[in-house]
Amino acid sequence: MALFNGFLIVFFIVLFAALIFVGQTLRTSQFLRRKLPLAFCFFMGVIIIFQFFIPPENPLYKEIEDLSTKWIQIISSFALVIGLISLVTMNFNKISRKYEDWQYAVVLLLGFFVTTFYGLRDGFEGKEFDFIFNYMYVPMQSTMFSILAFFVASAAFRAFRARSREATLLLTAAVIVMLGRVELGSVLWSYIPFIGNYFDVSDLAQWINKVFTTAGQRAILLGASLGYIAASFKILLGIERSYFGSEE
Amino acid sequence: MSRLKYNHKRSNYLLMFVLLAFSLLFAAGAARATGEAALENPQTAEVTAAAAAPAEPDIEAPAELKIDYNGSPEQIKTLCEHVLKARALASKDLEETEARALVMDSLAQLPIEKLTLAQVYVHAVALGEKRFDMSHNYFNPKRSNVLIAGILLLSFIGYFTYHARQGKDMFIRKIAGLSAIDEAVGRATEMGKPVLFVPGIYDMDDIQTIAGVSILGHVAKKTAEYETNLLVPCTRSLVMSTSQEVVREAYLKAGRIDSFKAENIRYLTDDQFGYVAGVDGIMMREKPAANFYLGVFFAESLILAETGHHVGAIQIAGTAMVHQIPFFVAACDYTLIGEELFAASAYLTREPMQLGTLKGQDVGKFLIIIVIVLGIVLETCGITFFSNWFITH
Repeated sequence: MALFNGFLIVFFIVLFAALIFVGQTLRTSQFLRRKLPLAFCFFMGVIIIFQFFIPPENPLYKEIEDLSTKWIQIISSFALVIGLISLVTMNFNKISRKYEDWQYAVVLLLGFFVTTFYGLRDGFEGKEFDFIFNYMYVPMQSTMFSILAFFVASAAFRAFRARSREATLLLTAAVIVMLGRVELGSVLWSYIPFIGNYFDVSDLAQWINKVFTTAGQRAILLGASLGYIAASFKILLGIERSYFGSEE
Repeated sequence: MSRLKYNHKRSNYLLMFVLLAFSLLFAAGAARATGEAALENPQTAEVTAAAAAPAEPDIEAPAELKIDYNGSPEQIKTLCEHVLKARALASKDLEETEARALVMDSLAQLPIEKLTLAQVYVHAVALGEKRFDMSHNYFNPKRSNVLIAGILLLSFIGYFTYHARQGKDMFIRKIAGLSAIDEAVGRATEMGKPVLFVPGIYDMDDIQTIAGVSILGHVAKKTAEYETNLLVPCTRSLVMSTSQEVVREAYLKAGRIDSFKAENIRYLTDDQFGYVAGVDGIMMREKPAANFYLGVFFAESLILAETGHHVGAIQIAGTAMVHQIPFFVAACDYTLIGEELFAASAYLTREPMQLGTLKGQDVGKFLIIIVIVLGIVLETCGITFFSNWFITH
């Protein structure tokens, strides 16, 4: 089995290298660089729009869905190889040319090769792979996510300065919402004369979220959705071509 | 280069083709939906015959419905609830009004004075089976609202694109974030520091990423002109390949292809927080003077923007993710909010065709405002059919 896996890996590396060679040879062809991708884009776009209007009970709906999912998986697999080649080459260069902080590149490549080795040898269920995932990958990911709490505090501190009328409104709304979210806020609110006993701060916070925030978010969403549709049409019709690298 | 130039005259044909395709699709779907084709199909014909028959052995009614039918509103309500439940179990979406229509249709076809509730239920569900048998249809009538809205928007875009090509002047308001791009790149040049461009964490299949990469072309043109280093760390391989092509073309057009460094447009990782750690590391080491965050962002938005703020970079962000916009507004100097990101290409290139699509989009927005106001008025008056029509299934 290991021999078969090894053979498969070598086969795909050779195939990929051959495809790169063919691509490099044909890259000067304007038909391949411009017209063919545009034609593909238009054809696939029309098919996906067509699928949207087919009832899900029709077998054709499922067929198009399956086919597009398979193609996405195939293209993603090839794309991943491109990314990995870039990653490994760049870090090897960093080490060989002794760039600043090249030691980090050694750690990265070591981590990459060790994880790949155990992953290919034992699969996702392997003991070593499991150890790397649970005791290295997950804690590092959690560490990065936890930094967010501190950044929220520092960003809020800057944003909530009452420098203008709008900033003061933002500050007031933020204070009300913060008070409404914690138990202590309700207690403090009750000590405010007149309004303290008239209504609860959590209700006010909820009202701000439900009315103002939702209204603002929906307005942005409506505009963005129209932008999505218009941009999709532009891409399908070939009006928007700047992602090909040319504005002509 | 003339071979590369896009033939604008052909856009008309493309537009006409799409409109024709949609019209044909709609016509075919409508014809199917009327049931003409379904009646010819023996399988559907069997279902129709079964619905007309007084008994249906395959569908069993709940025990509580085995009582005589007296036509009271409560009984019809109970029936509707059961029909809804049965349809939900069969994974078919059904509105209460539709369930009521099913029950009423069933009653209209049957000698109701001799029936129990259970028999009415069986017939209503059988009628629903017939109505919802879409396996031979190529158009889903429940999505006709989307089709009509799409055709309308496409017509507006087509109309304004045509007028833009005729040379009609199109006004486009100033977008501060896009106007500041040159300023940001200029600042980086003066300080002798690089420019960092982050194209979001989604792949090329998202329109926001494509919009971001379009702006990257403009930024790359400026960095090529000013001979400033441009760093583009990517989280997806396809975004990396596309970005490399876009930047290479920009440097080629600026006549500075020798300054293009493919290794500056690099793949980091597909993992969200791994990518954030990588980009933060680049920021801390390279200390860029201008940061661009344009594309799809989630929880990493604030981590990136705050790190950028700490290194003292001028920051321009743009996304259509409503939950991340406040973070960017708080931490960045300029933010492209929602649709402004998609307008960037038209704004920066000032191509008549692109400006036409922008104008068409604005008319679409105006139409939506009218529809919302009309919907509010009608709903307040208790007329629900208008707002119900806009529900997508």
